[in-house]
Amino acid sequence: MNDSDSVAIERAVAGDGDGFKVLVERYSRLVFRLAYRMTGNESEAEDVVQETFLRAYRSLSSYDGRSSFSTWLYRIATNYSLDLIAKRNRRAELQPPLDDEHADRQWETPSSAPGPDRLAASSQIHRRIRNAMSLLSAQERSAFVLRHFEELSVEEISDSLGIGPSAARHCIFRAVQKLRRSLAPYVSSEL
Amino acid sequence: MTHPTDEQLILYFYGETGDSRAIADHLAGCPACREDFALIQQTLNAVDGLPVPERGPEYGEQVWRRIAPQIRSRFRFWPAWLPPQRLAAAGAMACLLVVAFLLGRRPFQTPPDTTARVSPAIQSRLLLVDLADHIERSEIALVQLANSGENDLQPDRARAEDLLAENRLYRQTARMNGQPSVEDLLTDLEQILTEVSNAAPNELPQLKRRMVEQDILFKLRIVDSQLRERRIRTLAASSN
Repeated sequence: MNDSDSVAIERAVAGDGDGFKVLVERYSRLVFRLAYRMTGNESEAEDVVQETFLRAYRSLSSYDGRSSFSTWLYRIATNYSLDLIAKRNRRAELQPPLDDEHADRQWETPSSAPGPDRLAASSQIHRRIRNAMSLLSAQERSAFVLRHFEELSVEEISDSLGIGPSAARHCIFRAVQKLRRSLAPYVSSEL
Repeated sequence: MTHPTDEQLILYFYGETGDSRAIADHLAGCPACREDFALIQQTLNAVDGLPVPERGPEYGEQVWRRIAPQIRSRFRFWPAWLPPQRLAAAGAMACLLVVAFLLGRRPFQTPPDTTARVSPAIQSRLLLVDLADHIERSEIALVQLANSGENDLQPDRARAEDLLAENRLYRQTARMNGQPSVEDLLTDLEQILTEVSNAAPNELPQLKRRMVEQDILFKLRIVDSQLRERRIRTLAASSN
């Protein structure tokens, strides 16, 4: 664990809120990035960031330092993201099917994307990738995001998701296979 | 080496295979496997291009401002030698002792329920009042934004940040209470507030356009007036 993390954690556990502030400032962007990749939705990602740090603060005294603080945060963020995705899916099951226009809302284009021309050109490709990502199960997506984007090791992923290393490896494998199948028609030509 | 499986190639891509030297040697001499591996690389490189909304260096500070009130109110001046779990256990033990003492002193009988409780009706009324106030303040903030120029976006951003944290709590409450229409409105509002709180001055016209497209002010007014009507009805019902 990062030395300055452990100092900040000690201060926070001792009741010094400013100790925790250091951790929030250090890791907010990382957690946001992970949450957005997990949920595909900016507003839900903000929700995940806020809730992750509140939950982390509440259970900070139980953090034992065996994994790095960032891995521990990732675990909280991943679990909360999975809860949100499950709730969203349950709601979707209760509602009539969405048309294509609304289906894109759960994997929306970020508002800070470049100008309209470039956006139009790349949005087709991005939509294909987003659709491919949405076909992954929650656990496959978690394992894939943690490995591919956050570059966690298989052991760290298994720790974060509470599954064995071989199951984590298999989740990554299945995720990549699904992405390959979904993107196969476009990989050699357009991507 | 025999041809590596897809799983081995994927793990090789991530550097997670033990025999990477053997796979590298095999790929060097096997065009079919090399092509297979190239497709895996192309797919995964393409996924890298999926954009993530930018958050600037000040983002951590913004997150802190949103959560600090909850953290401070819970733990300010909390002594390190008295963790909340220990205090809760001690409190539970003290309650048990008091209850045991009182039971021992009084003859056993069923007492009338005199516990002071907030009834669900009052809770619901309080929530209505809070939510209506929040909607009204959001409406005012967005009207001010609609009328502001590019040079003075800072106050709008600060207002949006303040409203954002509240909005999340109301949205989560609406979700838990099974009020999808309120939740949807608060979700739309949250998107706008998030954008405002992170907006650069040159993005103001785009924001205003988005507000018009989503008809957010109109929706807020409708819900605001509905909430007020419900408050009036609830008050009238409770006074009869």
